[in-house]
Amino acid sequence: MSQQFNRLVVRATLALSGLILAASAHAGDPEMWSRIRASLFQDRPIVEASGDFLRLDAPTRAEDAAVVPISIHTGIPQSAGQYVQNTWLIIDQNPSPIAAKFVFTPSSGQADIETRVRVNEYTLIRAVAELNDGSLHMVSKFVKASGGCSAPAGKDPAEALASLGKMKVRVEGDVIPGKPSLAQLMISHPNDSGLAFDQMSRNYTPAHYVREISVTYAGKKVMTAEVDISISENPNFRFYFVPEGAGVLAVEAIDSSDLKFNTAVKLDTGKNVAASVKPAAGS
Amino acid sequence: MQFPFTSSSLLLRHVIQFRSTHFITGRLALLAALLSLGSNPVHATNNDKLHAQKIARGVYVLPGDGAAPNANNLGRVGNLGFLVGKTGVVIIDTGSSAARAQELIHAIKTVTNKPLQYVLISHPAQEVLFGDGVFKDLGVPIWSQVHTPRLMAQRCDHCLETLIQVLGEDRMKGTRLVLPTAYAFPSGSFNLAGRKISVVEGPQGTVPGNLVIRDEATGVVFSGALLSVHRVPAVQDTSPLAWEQALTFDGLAKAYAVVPAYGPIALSSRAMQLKTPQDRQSFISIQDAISQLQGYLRDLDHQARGLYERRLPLEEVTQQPSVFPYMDWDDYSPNHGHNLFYRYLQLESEDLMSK
Repeated sequence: MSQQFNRLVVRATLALSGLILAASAHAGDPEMWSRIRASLFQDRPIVEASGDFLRLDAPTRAEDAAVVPISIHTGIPQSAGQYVQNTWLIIDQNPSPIAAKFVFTPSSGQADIETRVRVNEYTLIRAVAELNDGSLHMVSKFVKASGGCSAPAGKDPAEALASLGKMKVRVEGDVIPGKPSLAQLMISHPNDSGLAFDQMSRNYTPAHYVREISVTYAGKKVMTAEVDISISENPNFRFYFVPEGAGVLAVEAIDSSDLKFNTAVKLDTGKNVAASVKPAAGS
Repeated sequence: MQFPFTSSSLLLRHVIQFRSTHFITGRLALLAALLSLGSNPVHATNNDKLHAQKIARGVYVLPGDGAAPNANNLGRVGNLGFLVGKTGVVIIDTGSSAARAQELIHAIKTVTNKPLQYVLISHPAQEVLFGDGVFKDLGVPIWSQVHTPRLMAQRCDHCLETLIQVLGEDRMKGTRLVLPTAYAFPSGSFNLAGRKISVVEGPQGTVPGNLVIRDEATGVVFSGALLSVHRVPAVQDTSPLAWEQALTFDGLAKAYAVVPAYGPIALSSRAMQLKTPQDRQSFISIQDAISQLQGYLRDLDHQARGLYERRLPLEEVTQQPSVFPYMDWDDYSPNHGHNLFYRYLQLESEDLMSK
């Protein structure tokens, strides 16, 4: 029995030291982070968030470095008194590390975001949330993936051009006034990073990406996002909004060539009878 | 290499589990495919992987196992083939390393002293073309379909590093990435090294860059990635349903024997009859091989659709519990997870494009 116990202690110690080693191996590149931190937040204090307050989910090893699913969850319901105002998604080792800045309002209901990103090399991915009181909170996760930023587009360029800017926004479940509803936005766009080498033309495909997204419900701002080349081809976002009654959930996206794309759905409360009120349009 | 459902009770358990979590639609086809397994072919032992196996007159295979390259199989994965013609030898695929290519050359030399004249690369995969450098140094032209060098150049930055990591520097010594030359194959049959062959690109729906190579004298077909036996293929660049359709290509069904890229060789009933009952255990019938892979592709599509309709977040797609009845196939992990991931993205894209 005591031998078994000793073995257990040895195993636990080994496991613990393994964890410590793993944690230290995943410290990332502190110099890179200090540069990003200085440019975005200067010397403002940043609290390491824990528990449900702020959580970042990402695969430890990505299936595809060009499509790495990322979820940022917050444990704070958005209210006029306290809410997450801004969330930065930062990929330390990417050529352009600030992947996105999401701006929320109390009408967001829940400042959660899901999206997919490109990862260029093994890196720490961070979410930094700024509350309306100005405090900064951060979580990070080490992700093993490489080559995502220079990966060629999955879709044939001619096909991608034909469907450029087609968008769909969908609301999950029933729409209940005052309760956060989950919406999903899908955009057909190559989101070319400018870093992918085209083997056929022997040139780099020029950067062409969605740079801004704004979402309103019944005319009220729900969420805006400044996004960058780190967002995967066919940008995809899940976010919350709080419907106070029937209304139109409207989305506008602007890309790096200043093309504007719109879509909207009309929602009734109760049973979700969402209907598209406006086809996706490029301008 | 293990084959699925070595006992009927295991088969039944898988089918019951599968039915409990999936819709019934299409299940009968799956059941039929599973029941059609009959005798399970026995895979090549490590030793067999060094000796050429004669399939028909002048047609040989250096067999590999269907698993991903690992320290045990030393990267002897995938079936490499060669045809002995009047003037020389046509090689089909070169293996995962320079060392494997040397093993192939050694195996050829035990059969014939004719010169090595042409190499054909059947599909873009690290398992079949990292021996190219050896043949290039010997001055042998290396041909493939046009997509193969493009896809390999785009994707294979890290292939060599990964293979060195997995197989070790000793085994990978002298290995380098040499891209094949994109070749415009004539339609119909043509003469290569004094052997009449025909080459079909695709067929459409399978892996881009795939070639199906038929030896006209014997009716033996090298399917490339189109057919793999008891191995979960990587379904990334095409939809599983398009691949399922591609498997109806009659060049497979009419073959005397089909050498799949990975896994045991499939035989026509005529070829099977020529084998002793004991030898038959090493093979599978062409029809069973096709319908099993079709079953997998259909069920992959079905499972992915279920996940998409549930609006499961993408990060959860690869974390599904393994109740899939193909979990004993080679490369189930990680290929099935990858396949679900990519099919989910395809379905999302189809959804976005629909009205």
